Amino acid sequence: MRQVYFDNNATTPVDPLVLEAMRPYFLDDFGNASSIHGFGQRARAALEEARRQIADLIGAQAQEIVITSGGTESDNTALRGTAYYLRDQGNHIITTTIEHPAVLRTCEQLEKEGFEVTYVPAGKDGQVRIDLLEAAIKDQTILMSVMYVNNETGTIQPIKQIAELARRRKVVFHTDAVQAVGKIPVDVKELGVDLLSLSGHKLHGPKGIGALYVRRGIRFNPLLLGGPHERNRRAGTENVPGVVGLGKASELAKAALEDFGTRVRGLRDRLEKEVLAQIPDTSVNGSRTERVPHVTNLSFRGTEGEALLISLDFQGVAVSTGSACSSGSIEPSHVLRAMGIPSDLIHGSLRFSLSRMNTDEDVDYLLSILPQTVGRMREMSPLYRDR
Amino acid sequence: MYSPTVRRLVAELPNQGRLPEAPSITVENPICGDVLELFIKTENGIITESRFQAAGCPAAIAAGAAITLMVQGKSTEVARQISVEQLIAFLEDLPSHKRHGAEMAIRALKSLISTPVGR
Repeated sequence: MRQVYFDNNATTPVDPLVLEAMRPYFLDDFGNASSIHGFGQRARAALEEARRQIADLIGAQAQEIVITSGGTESDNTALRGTAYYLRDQGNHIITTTIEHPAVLRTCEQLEKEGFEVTYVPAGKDGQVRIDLLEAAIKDQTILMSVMYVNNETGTIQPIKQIAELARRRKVVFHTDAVQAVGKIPVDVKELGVDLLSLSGHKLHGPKGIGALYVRRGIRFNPLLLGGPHERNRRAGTENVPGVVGLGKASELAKAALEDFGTRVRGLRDRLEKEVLAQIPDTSVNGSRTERVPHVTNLSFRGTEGEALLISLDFQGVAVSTGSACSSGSIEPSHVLRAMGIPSDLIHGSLRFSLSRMNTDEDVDYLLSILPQTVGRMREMSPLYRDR
Repeated sequence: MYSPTVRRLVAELPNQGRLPEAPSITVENPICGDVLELFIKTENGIITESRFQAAGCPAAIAAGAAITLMVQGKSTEVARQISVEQLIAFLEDLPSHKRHGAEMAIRALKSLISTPVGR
């Protein structure tokens, strides 16, 4: 059976060239990058070259890149580190209702520690309104965090304008760009952000590695204490193979950006257009213009996303859904709920997220099985039949 | 997450459909809105055919399919004794917050065959 992977917002396959680049740093040049001997120095050289590659992908200086264990650690470091560092200046933080749990749970923890957090809502198109962010700013505001690209809908937020607002109001600005970096051109200087989180495994790098861009002059309290690694900003022996992998993945992603914006966009657009044409009662969630090229979030009225997902999985296609409920009550996707999407459409939602490794044949295969799969679920539903 | 049996039942949907001539019942889970419609045909006190329709999560769908498989060929007396625990065992477990899917299916079964279905 053909295997098609359309869940690249969850994670991506490691590019074989990335794996090849990492291999020597497990077996040959395995030294501790803090050691003075040759093993250590070769590891150090590889680490710094990778840091340069990561910086190059986002238009940063190498010394502005702090290596972390991934997007979650980068988000935690940015939010907690900044909040603790600036505590004497204020205790108010602004974020949005559609952030990743790595930001939302961190903000909730900060609330327990005495900080005040304002959660600004998104509109039905998934975009956060700048006037609402501005209205939320007060004298005690020290930090604002808005994601660059939403993981569920692929909606792009107006980060440059938000960063301008933050600079004007003297508020430190962080963006969780885990779903943006390597998918759309990202230039931290042009955007004007202070802190930016990225993750390796979302761009065909390995899991367990990520980075936090920290604009020169921005200070924060480190999350991890110990040795003087990462210029005293993140203690712990560096994961050299991981960093080398992220570096190589960054280099490859930069080279592939144009292909991503044209060929991958073409695949996504064809998938979306054909599904909408072939399957009635189907709708797109989120903005169709302010959106990354590789994601479409679709709702199939009268179906249940988890059941669709399982059925597609048995036919070799991997997707994801925001429909999962928990704890005996309806608790589907907080993102789609925050956008005001009706409950039945949230329950029938599927996210298709493509990568540069997908092909026309992958889209053809999906289109050959999806209409029947949705049709069968609707045929089974006592509710849909009665409509 | 869901067991291999739950996943297989959701993918294959055995006995999904309707028996327009047979007695049926529709039950709803008031908490999450899942709906199960169960059809059971009996001859001389023996269940000869069963079908289900469902709208809801994989637990609700799999529980509906499982009930139709479990009652096949059984007397209504025996089928009436099937418990939520037995259904969950047949499904190779359910996440604890998805137990309501099995409870809804047992509620449908008991309601349907506790009343005389005739013939």
